[in-house]
Amino acid sequence: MSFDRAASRHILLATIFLILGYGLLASPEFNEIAAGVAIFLFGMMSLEQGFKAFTGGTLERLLERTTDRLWKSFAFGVLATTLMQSSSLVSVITISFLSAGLLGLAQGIGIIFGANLGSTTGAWLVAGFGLKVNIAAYAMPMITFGVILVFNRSTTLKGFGYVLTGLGFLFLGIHYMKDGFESFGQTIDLAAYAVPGVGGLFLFTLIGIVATVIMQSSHATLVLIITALAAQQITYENALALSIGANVGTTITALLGSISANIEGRRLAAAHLIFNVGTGAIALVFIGGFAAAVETGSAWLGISPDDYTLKLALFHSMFNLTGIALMLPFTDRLVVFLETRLQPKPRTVSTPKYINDGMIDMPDAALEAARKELQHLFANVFDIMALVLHVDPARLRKGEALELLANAPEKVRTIDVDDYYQRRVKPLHGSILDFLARVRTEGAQSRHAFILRASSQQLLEALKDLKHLQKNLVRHLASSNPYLRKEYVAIRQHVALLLYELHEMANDPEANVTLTLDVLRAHSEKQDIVANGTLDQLIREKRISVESATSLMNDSAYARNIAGNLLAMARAVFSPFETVRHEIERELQLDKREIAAILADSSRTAESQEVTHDETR
Amino acid sequence: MKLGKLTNRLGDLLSADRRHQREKRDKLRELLKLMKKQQKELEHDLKRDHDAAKRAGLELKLQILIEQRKKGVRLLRELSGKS
Repeated sequence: MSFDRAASRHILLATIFLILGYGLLASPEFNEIAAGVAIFLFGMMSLEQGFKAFTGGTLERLLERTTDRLWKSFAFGVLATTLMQSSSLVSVITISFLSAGLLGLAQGIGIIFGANLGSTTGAWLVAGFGLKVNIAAYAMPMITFGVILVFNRSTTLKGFGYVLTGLGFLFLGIHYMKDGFESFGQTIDLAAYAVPGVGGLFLFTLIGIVATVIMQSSHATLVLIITALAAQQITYENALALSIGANVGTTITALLGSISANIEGRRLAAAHLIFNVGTGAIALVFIGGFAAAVETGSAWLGISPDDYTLKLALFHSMFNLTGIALMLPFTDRLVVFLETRLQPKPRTVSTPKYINDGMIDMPDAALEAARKELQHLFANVFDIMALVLHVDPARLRKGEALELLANAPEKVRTIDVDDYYQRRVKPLHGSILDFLARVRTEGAQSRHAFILRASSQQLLEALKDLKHLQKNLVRHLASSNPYLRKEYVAIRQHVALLLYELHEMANDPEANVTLTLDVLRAHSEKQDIVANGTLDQLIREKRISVESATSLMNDSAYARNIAGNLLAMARAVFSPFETVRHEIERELQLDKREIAAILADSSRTAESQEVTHDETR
Repeated sequence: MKLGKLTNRLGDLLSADRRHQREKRDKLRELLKLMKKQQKELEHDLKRDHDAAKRAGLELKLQILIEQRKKGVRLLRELSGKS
């Protein structure tokens, strides 16, 4: 089956090559137009590459600040697409952010609507500026300076370099397309093949869709239409139909991007499809009305009656604006419709919630999704640990009956940790590791990926230590020796309270992570029965046997390791990763010696308070 | 825009290190303000609470916060080139 698919793909590619090869050999004009399209698409790729350099923080911050209201998301979509000249890139980034849980569906829809309007600025730029001046003259210095900047080490400058090179190639591509169509007009009159009437409308809409699906860029299709229209190689009516087709065809990139996305991403791609097909249908049905409105609008804007390229740009903006005006007020209903119609597949606790292949190329969104997936993994580990400690996980999360932890549970039993691990932890852990290995990271991102990988390992280590601890915990929680029982109750209480505190911290975005973690570390140090002298005292006073003392010492070490691993994991996983914040936290974090000094100081204070209390009595 | 401010901005744009240091300083300043506020809140809670166990917990938290703030102030001085 896969061989058949691969073979048919190869045959299709070979056929395209043959047809293109013949066309390029037969017509130098076609050669120029095809080269223009190829250079233009290459420029788009370079532009996208450049803007991706700014997704490392800047874009996320902008998205966070500008998408809390629908109109803000809409404005973000318009501005981002106008600036980047690629609605596809904006759609794909939005889908990734939505899948990673960084955006809500309504905000995502607002961005997509805005991106549709933003993409119409491309037609205005090409029709109003690109065709009227010799843009190739600007292209050359842009490419030259751009390439120099690409060689720079700074990510920002490199990003600027790619943007500049991309714009240069876009201009060069437009120039070649324009020249190609002009020379083409001297030999063949393509306008003679124009199809009038409704048939032509549908045929050229279809051609517009196919061209955009092939090039995966409505911008490229529009530039091709505008340059052909300027050279009078297509009629104005057919150009209008082609632009409608380009608008519908552009959804293919978002649909392809959503295949590997989670349900939120798929819902957004469906919203994109509904909007563009709906807008296209409205434009097709009311094309006469739109054409008349364009004439009136052109007269207002001072566009000359024979400037068909600018009129096409106006038509493109008008029908997109109409679609937005009609659909934006119904965004909430669209969200409800999509959420009802597109349901997530039933999943188990070990199925990933946030990570998916669609975001592999967006390292920042991917790493954020992996971080959230690790929180999901922590929740699974939390459940198992709570069961081992004989605490109801749901009640522990709510902080209910924490005072009962001061006593041994009424009944104790052994939990099959291995079985739980195989079902609830291992598959999810494997998915996270596989995902992190495939995300293409560099610099600070690679460090972040490394930290996340280490955190997943720390979670497993904590679970493994609890499994070892369980053996004696079950035995000694029911021990007839009250001294031994008391120590195991303390271990159980310490780990359970730690789990509760970590759960609280994970769900409080305002928490001072550095402080909370150091306080928890101090509590953990206080529990060290070897360092605080409890173990020696128990042995000296013959309260427990030497064998039990050895077990207790080992189990106390297990509890400390569990705390250490969970706290290290929490530091990396419970708040969004920012290199600067991470550095500051690391530098402010107290070391072992500093914590020991504080503990010694507080125990001295407690002792002196006791003495004063006794004296006053 | 004054020339000094302009050259600073240009310097930031051209040097990733400088940009990083400036960002770190700004973030640290923000964090130190938050920590100071938290310290005042903790001191206030400590005055009101008479339960020995709760007070011990609050005191430990306060001591850790004070120690972390000291480290933060030292770091800020270093970053501002004052030490």
